[in-house]
Amino acid sequence: MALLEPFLKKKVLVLTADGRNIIGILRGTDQTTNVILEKCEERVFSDEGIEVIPLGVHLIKGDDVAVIGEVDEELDRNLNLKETIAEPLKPIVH
Amino acid sequence: MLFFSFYKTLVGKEITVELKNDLSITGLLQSVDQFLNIKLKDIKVNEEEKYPYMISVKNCFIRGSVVRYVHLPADDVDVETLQDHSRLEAREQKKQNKQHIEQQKQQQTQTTAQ
Amino acid sequence: MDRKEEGTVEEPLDLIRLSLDERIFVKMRQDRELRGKLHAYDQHLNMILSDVEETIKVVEKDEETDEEIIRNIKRNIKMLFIRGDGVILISPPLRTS
Repeated sequence: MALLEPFLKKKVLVLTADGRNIIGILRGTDQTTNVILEKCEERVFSDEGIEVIPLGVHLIKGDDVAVIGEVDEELDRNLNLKETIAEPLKPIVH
Repeated sequence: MLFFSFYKTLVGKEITVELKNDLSITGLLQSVDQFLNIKLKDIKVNEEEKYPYMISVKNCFIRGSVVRYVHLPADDVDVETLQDHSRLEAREQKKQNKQHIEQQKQQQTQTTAQ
Repeated sequence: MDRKEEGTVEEPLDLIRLSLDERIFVKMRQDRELRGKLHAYDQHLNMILSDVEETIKVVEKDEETDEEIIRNIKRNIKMLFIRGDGVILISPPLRTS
């Protein structure tokens, strides 16, 4: 998709409709915002900091995509995963 | 088409997009497409301490379908033009609907004849 | 297009066209209500309203008595785009005044 083309081959953060945070390299997209991510990991937010779960390759269906953010690698390195405490993101309610 | 064209006039302006998961993202409108998907740059999530998910993100894409509201810069919105365009588009839409109904009627008569 | 056709209501959306530049009431999903002046709409009921007052109805449960307390949260927004898929109903000015 045209809007997402500049993000291709870059590290992106996908917020899914069910409230998950998935980070990976954007390998492909299409008209309906289906996305293929490689070298994925899920970041699980809780009151005990962020837990990172490796996932491999993921195809996320367009309807399940809420937001795709371009990750600034430097800002991301400075992120303190253990001390970032937050409730998990709420799901999208249509 | 009306809102797609409208958003194009707001490129470069600051807007706040409120999502259906209660997240609010403020940023400069970078681009928009016909699905009203939105791209923002230099973003800030409102109440970032409570919602720290996007701290390492500066530019983002928001899927049109997850948008609840968009808070617009009132001074950059020309309401007269919007109202005129809404009337025009309504007229256009009505014409198309009528044509569609006519076509369907014709198809039905053809099938009955057969 | 002649005057007569512009002023008549044949289809539901005509009613909204006649509400342009008027204050309307919009009921949204998730117990949200909006009041504001209508400036734009399309066939999906996407809209732009100005001087909007939003009321959100929140139901809280009293821990001790188990009673349900309904609280209205209000906020004002100068200029707002509303995505049509969240709209349940629109009421033109006469019935809201």
